[in-house]
Amino acid sequence: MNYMRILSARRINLRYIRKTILVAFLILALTVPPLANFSIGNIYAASPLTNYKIGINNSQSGATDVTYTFNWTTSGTNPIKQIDIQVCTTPSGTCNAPSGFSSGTPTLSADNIAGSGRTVSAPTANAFRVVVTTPATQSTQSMNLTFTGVTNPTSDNTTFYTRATTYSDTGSTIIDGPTVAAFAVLTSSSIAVTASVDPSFTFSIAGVSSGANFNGGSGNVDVTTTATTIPFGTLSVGDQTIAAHDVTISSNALNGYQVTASHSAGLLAGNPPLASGSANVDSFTGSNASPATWSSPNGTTASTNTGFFGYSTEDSSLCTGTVDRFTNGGPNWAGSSTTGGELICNANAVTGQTTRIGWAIEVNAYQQPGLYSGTAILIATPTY
Amino acid sequence: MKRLFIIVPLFAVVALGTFFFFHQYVVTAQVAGQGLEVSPPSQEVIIDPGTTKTIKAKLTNKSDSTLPIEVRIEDFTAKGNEGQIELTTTSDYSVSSWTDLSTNSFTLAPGEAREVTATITAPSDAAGSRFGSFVFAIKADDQPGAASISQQIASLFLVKISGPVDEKLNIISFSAPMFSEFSPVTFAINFGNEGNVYSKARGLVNVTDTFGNKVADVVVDETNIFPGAERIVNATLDNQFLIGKYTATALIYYGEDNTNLTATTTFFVFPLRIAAVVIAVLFVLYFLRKRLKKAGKALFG
Repeated sequence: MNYMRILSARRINLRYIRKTILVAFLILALTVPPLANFSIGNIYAASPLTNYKIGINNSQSGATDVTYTFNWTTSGTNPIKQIDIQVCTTPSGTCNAPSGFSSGTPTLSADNIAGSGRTVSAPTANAFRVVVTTPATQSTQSMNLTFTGVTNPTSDNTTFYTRATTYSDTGSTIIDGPTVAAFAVLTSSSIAVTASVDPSFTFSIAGVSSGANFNGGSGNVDVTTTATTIPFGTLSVGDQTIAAHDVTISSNALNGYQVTASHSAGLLAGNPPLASGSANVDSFTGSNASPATWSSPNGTTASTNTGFFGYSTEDSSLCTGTVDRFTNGGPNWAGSSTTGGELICNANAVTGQTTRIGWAIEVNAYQQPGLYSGTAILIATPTY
Repeated sequence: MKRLFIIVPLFAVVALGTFFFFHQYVVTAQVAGQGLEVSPPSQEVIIDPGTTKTIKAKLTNKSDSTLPIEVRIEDFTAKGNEGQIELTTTSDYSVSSWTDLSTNSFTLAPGEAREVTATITAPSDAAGSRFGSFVFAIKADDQPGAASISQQIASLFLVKISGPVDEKLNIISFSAPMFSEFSPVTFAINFGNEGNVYSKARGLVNVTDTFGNKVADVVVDETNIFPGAERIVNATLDNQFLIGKYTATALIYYGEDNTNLTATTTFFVFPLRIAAVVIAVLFVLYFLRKRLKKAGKALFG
């Protein structure tokens, strides 16, 4: 009686419960199936073969006289009477033969199955069978079987599956398996060859006009460059002068690329980037690995940090180090050296990728007057 | 007065449009450039110890002006793990001292192409791999009071010396983003080369669903791995509707014996935002069920 009263107090009725269950079911129907994948995956028959791997000595599609090597570890010591290996298009379900595959007249060139006497056959065109005449207790060691004279499937770039089963008799009582392992067949030309279809790699440099934008700035390019020069002109003391180039890379090959910046070695000690007689402009203090916000030269002895020259890039996904080190909070600048520093990079092939790079110079009142010159080197290299 | 309300904004729009058009034009303006094209970007050559072999690289002038070109051979080593290289003079795999060029300088007219030959002579005790490059440079236009640009481009060659070699690749790691909402899913295979020659890795990534059914085979492009170096190779599973847990198995072959490497990883894909929207809609429908029922009755009796 009390129980009934409680129910009544909470106003629970069958209609409400039914609807609640319906909503819960809808929510579960949406969310549980994918989550269920976690729990119901990897359920296999008991006693699978472990460490099951396949090796083939030629992965070209349609290749003939291929050697297939199967490796696995058995689960117990039961004497093995028969081993069946099927080659299928799917890992489970009906075993359909891969197009073009043939186990031919398989020859077992090597094995370490316990027992003596072997009969090797191909019960179907996509299967291998080994029957041991006098089986013996099998230690749970790594087992390997090598078959020769096999023809690969003809489908390019496709994986196939082998299902291996061991029996204690001639095909009725399973010891281990069926266990599945995959192998891949590639294209008919998948062996390493020298490139043959005129692959090319193009590197172009174009000057940029003054008033253009560089690396987040607006109209901050001060000097118009040509493809071959950076004519900074007469510099104003205490003013950073920025110039830029557009670098374009194209390739019809698989290669990615990298462009590095450096400067040529000169006659002066320390190989400064720009020189005029015995006077020089130093490299900016930021490095390629750690470029820095521009800072004015503050040296008070001529040619010792009284002038800075540096470079930067709009590439925000470099291949080494911090990939956006020049653009994050930039423009950030690096001083050049006679060793190439990463300026632009792409690990993948590109067709017409243009990146703007920048150059900056600034001198203070202690810098000696003169016509300063030097050579900045831009080297484009494909990936290997 | 009404006209003014129309004309003034119209004028403003035209003026702003004109400004932005020319502003855009100014900030993207380029000065005429110059270009070089090499073919091939990289090539491979097999050479017997004590013999000579020639290789070629072609340079094309893609500019509108005649270019003075200098050529040299430099060695290179791997740098980073994405296939980048570094030109060097101190490589353990140097080939430059074995190599002679057919020419060291020439001029190229606009559109003209020139083939340069390098003759490689391998010592009789040579073994393993060597790595070099043709480097073509436009001679810098030195001008007082200006910095010159020296534009250079490399064409690589990888030399494998016939004979006993130690080919030994391994997969250091094979990974995919643990969770994605949608495809594409990019697999990263990090190869390490512990051998003494460069090796080519190629293969497929086999993707299966929870129930072991094949979803896709993703091609892993043929890629060289420098001895002693690592290289990350990406393969992308794209254009697939994915939901649930998946297993990816990398089936990789390398070397002259087609040695097999395998590695496995799992990943999970679920369209979280779409599911959230669907659930939210269901909740709204549930809480409005009485009103909807009433509305239904009112509409359809």
